Amino acid sequence: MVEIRIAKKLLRANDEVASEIRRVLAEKRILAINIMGSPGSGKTSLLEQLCPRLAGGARTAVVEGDLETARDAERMEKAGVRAVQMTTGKACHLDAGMIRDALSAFDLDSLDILFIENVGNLVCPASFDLGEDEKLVVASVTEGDDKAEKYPPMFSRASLLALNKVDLLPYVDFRADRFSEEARKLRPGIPIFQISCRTGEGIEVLAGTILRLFRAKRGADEEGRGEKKVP
Amino acid sequence: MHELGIAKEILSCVEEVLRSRPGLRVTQVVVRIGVFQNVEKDSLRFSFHALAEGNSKVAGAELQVQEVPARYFCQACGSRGSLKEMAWACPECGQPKIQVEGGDDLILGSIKGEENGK
Repeated sequence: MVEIRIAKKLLRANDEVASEIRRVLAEKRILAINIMGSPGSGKTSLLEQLCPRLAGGARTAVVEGDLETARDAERMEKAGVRAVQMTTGKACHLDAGMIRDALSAFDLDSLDILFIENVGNLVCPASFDLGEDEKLVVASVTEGDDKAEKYPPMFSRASLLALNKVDLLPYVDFRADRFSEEARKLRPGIPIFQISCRTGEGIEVLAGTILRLFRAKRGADEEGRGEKKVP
Repeated sequence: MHELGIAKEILSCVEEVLRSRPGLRVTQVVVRIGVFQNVEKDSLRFSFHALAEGNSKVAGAELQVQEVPARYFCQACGSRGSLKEMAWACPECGQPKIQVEGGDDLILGSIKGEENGK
């Protein structure tokens, strides 16, 4: 019997492209936020609410991921936001290669915050690094309060958590305190934003946090470079 | 997740080795997978075996999956150890002061087989 030692890393391609994206975004001082959540949790609705509120402080654009149709990108364009639609066909997640392709559609010198709306799915997107700064998971009260426990990889990798549709709390058996407790077992101290894209509740607070993250990234980057002005 | 894609890449690496060693018949392939990769071992073995059927020099080979734990160091109590799943709090003292390393390996470790009757 012979043994051949190999020690070859598998599936390196995505991570390499993600690192390349991270370098480009750092150089252009762009904050990138990967938005993930179940289908129907309100990812697109959140962007429709967020982007206009960020308009005074930052220039935004959106990469939309969907299996079929450009409907979400059309919704974003209607809200006055630059959007590129990536139809993934049969893929259940966005990968770094798709983001690299999407970036070529934007003028990166006139962009501050890039939102990436991932395919609606609580499993696969958690495994793919897109070169983003933040992972924002959108959950909604109509999904049940056990989602964090049931999908630990997604919730343990999240850096921001939005709980949407809180205007429906009186009508559903969703215990917000239980949800928060379980989410924080997986990720202690994660900021949880209770929002409603229908009533606008809580959106301002989330927008404020995103702007602070953007300024922090720009500030940190400017220490080393110091050119591009904060708008 | 995506065990089929990983299985395809394992097989293509094995086939690359076979090109330079045409006399080899593979009996075992060893992969090392970190606990944070969320790879379902049974699904990976099933996918690998199904794909290997298409290559007579690999068909029937065993896929051995070695799970690689992550390591942590707690800045609060100083304990060190291994983790089988993602954690943010120290398993010893409960403080959220741990540094976690590793757990993201996805490595084709080695290939065993018979070559020219050996």
